[in-house]
Amino acid sequence: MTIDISPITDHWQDLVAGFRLTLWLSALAWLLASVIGIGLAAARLCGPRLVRQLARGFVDVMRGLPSLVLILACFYLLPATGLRLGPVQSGLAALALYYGAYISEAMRGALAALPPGQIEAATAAGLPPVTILRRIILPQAIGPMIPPLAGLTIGLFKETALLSTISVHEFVFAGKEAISDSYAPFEIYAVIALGYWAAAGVIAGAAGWIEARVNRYRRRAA
Amino acid sequence: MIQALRALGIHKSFGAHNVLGGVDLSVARGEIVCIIGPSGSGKSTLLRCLNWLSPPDLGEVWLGDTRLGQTRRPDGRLAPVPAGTLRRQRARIGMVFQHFNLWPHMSAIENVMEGPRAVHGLSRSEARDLAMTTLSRVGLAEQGGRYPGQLSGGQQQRVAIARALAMRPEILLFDEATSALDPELVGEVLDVMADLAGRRTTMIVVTHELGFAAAAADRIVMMDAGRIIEAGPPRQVLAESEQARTRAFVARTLSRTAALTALIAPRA
Repeated sequence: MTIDISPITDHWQDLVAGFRLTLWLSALAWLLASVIGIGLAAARLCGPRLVRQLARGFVDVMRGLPSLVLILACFYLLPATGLRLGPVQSGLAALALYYGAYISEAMRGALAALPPGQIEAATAAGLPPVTILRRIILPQAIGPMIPPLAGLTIGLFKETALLSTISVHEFVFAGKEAISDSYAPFEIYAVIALGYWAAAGVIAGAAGWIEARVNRYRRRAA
Repeated sequence: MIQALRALGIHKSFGAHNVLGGVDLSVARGEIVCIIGPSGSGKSTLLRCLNWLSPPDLGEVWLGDTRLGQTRRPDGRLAPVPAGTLRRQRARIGMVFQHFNLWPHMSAIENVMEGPRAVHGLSRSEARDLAMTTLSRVGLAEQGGRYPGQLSGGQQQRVAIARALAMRPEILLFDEATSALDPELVGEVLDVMADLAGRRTTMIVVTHELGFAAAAADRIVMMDAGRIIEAGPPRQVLAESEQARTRAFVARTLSRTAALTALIAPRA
């Protein structure tokens, strides 16, 4: 088999535009999901009982649905409630809600793993809750949070591909269009696979770097 | 005699389990009180009620003239004090825990500096000076830069004592401060505690170390099944008690070392 790169060069600009949109969608959905995740984790850890239960119910529903189903539901059902959302907005909403639930679980796990005695000692000394969070809890909880959060970030990034099903012109959508134009699925999908793989590698590398930084104290404590 | 702390009628239950059934305890300023008793007798729960870590279901705790955690409203009903007020009250009580509870991501000196900085608003350099002075008092002047994971259990507990002392508390609570330590490290922590007792630091010490209690306490309080069953000078409680439960507890505790004593004594 000979590889002809002309289908790639012919559609290069469309593919780049699609990849750009994928990156933007990922970044935006990740930001929204993080905000939702922090809110849910806070609600579940220190909210009143009703709020805790609501947050828990929400997380359970999100984890029980395939992301594709949620994306389609947001696309078809949200407009019916009167919300005027285009494919990009409803897709972002779906991914943010879905990953927000997972992110909250990753955060909750890391926060709950902290020995309660440390917080007790801080409380007994009269430290205000904000100080306890900022000085005692977060510096220790961020390290264990990073590996699951990195996994979720990569997952979110890859699952933006599902938005092609609701005609968001992201990377996979651009690829499909290029294929239907050029009949060169192998070449085009190779480029797409490389694009995803490279970007996922960058995310993983960044996560590793952050993790090493925030865990520096552990080496000294070993 | 000025009272540093008074507890009146402290009741505490966890679910159906009644842990404290009405405890009264007063500690004068400069007094060293040791609380002994079998495990499950409510000693630790009592300490945790005294600094409101685990607020009692019923009863009052007074820190000097301040009623801890609660205030009487104009209509006569009791209400919890605002969170900020409770924090200021708690800062007047130091606590040393069985498992040290140091913050492992901070060096020893940072552990000691944190409270004075966050609660008393000391500057970094003031807090550092204070922490250095306090760490030298517990014999750790050289170890300030080390992290808890690099210190022995005895050293960690001494850092925890320094952390409590640096807040200049009116009273220090020790919750089985040596129970989690390897036997050969118990002595260095007890030495620090004996030094504090020698300087008339007001303290309540929950301990299984009857030797320390005998030597350092002004008063020993014996607890069993959520109540104080007797209290008095060390000789009275440890040697001349008329309470069967106290005598049994003391005998049981001593029997652990009796075999060793018997082994060594003939040679001496």
